Amino acid sequence: MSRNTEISTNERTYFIEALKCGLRLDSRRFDEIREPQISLSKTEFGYVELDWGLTKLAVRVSAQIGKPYEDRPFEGLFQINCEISSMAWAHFDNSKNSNEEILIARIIEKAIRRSNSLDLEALCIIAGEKVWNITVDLNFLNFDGNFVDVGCFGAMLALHHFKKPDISIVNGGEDIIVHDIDERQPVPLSILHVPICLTYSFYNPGNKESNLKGEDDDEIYLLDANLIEEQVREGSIVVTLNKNRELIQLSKNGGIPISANVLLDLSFKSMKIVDELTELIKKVISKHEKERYEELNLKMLEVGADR
Amino acid sequence: MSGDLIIPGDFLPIDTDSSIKTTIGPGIYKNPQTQSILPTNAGLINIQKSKAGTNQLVYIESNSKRYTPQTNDFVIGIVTGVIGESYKVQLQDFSPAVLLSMMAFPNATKKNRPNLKIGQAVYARVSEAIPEIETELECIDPTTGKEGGFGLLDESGYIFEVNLNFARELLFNANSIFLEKLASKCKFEIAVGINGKVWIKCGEGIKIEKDRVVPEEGKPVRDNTRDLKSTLAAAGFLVKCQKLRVDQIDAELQKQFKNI
Repeated sequence: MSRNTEISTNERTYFIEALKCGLRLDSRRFDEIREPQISLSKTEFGYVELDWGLTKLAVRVSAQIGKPYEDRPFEGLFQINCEISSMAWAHFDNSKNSNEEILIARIIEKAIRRSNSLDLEALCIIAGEKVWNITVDLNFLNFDGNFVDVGCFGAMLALHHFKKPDISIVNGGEDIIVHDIDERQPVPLSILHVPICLTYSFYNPGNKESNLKGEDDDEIYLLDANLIEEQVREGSIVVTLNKNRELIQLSKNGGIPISANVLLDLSFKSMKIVDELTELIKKVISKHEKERYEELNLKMLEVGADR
Repeated sequence: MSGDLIIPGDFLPIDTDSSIKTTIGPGIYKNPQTQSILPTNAGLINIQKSKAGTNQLVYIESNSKRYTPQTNDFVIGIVTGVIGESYKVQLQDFSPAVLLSMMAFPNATKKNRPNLKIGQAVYARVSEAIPEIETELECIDPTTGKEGGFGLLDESGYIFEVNLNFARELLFNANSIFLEKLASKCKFEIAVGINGKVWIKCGEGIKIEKDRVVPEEGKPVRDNTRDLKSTLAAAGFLVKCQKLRVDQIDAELQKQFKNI
């Protein structure tokens, strides 16, 4: 069995010709992302399934109590596990991680963990003794391109959805009690900002030499490439931004060179999409919260409630 | 009894009378020890009885994504390499390669070989499919020894993938409405491979670099973006049709061909 896919010449020529005419094979605009379909778990906090075109992802966030690192006694632990198996696409290997997979995991990790999007100090329970250990598991179920954007979005969504059990400290800091979620309302994580990754793929329908010399700038940039587009591309860049107009990460690994103007242009264009996606997270989460509030009749528990 | 849903391990609703000769098709398994037959796929059961009532044919119509070659299937394959006197052809992603002998083309001889390049697509017939050995294809119509529609699919057409049962519907169901509806919008050429690949070309398709003529001074260049757009729209339409109800098809067709 071959572990590589072959794109037919037909698909390739069609793709390139369509690009020249300003079209994409799935009739999206060049800077249009596929519509994400979100399903949040009603029964457990921090379980989210995401359909992004045909790319499918399941995210679970879990929390445990552990000991902090000795040099950082006030900070909780936070890790992101990226699970890419051959279930998603037979090209990925189960036993060993290919460079491609490591790269995807690193970019997501850099975007979320290294940008301090989660307030680690809020995870501290007793300094130097007990802290929350938050783990995000990303399980990619189907591959149709663009794991980075989908993974980052899914992880942020799940972190927003997650709630950790409430705790109280007794005996003057000796012991802690972890309250059951049915006993006390669980508390959400404190999220400082929402990083959004956007991947642009480059294509050069003209000739390669002129591009290297920097003579013409007629490269084409596509946002959110799908499988075919990703296989044909000649380079890509990941731009990670948040709503506050902060540039978190730029990652370009080889491929055709692009000019600085294009880079600025892409970053500006990304802002609109970042705003939309951040808004989408907020909207789904608040809708979900509201449904839960009504379903559990939490109004009864409020201080001023008429009991 | 036809058209009922059946799942693996169900009781097969057929006559077990020994005077009736039963032929089994896809999705049915015969236990070699007890000679009893069982369904192994989930799908819709089809039972066809001969008029005299002495023969019956049973098979299960189910949807799947993985294609297993069967003799006499018409398939579209992508050439991925050459081994000796044969081309290596891929029928689906991540499936074992099948062989297409260079001699399996009409009028091919040792000296006059077909010239296929890697990445090109061929329409072929499965000539031999035995699980233990490599599957072989051929591009000759076995009854006439001529081309018979097989061979290289030209590069001006687009190739896309559909589910296996949709491919069967397009290929075998003469009353299928999808292609008829599509024909109301544009003129097209189509080749359906039972392995789920479909090649389609509306009008002229796209012009490839080598046969593009340099326009003479003053003459308008024939714009072929329209053909390109309709080909993509047609492909998009057929892909969407897999999941639509019959009454939604017209709306989808309008939507795909909106800008053309």
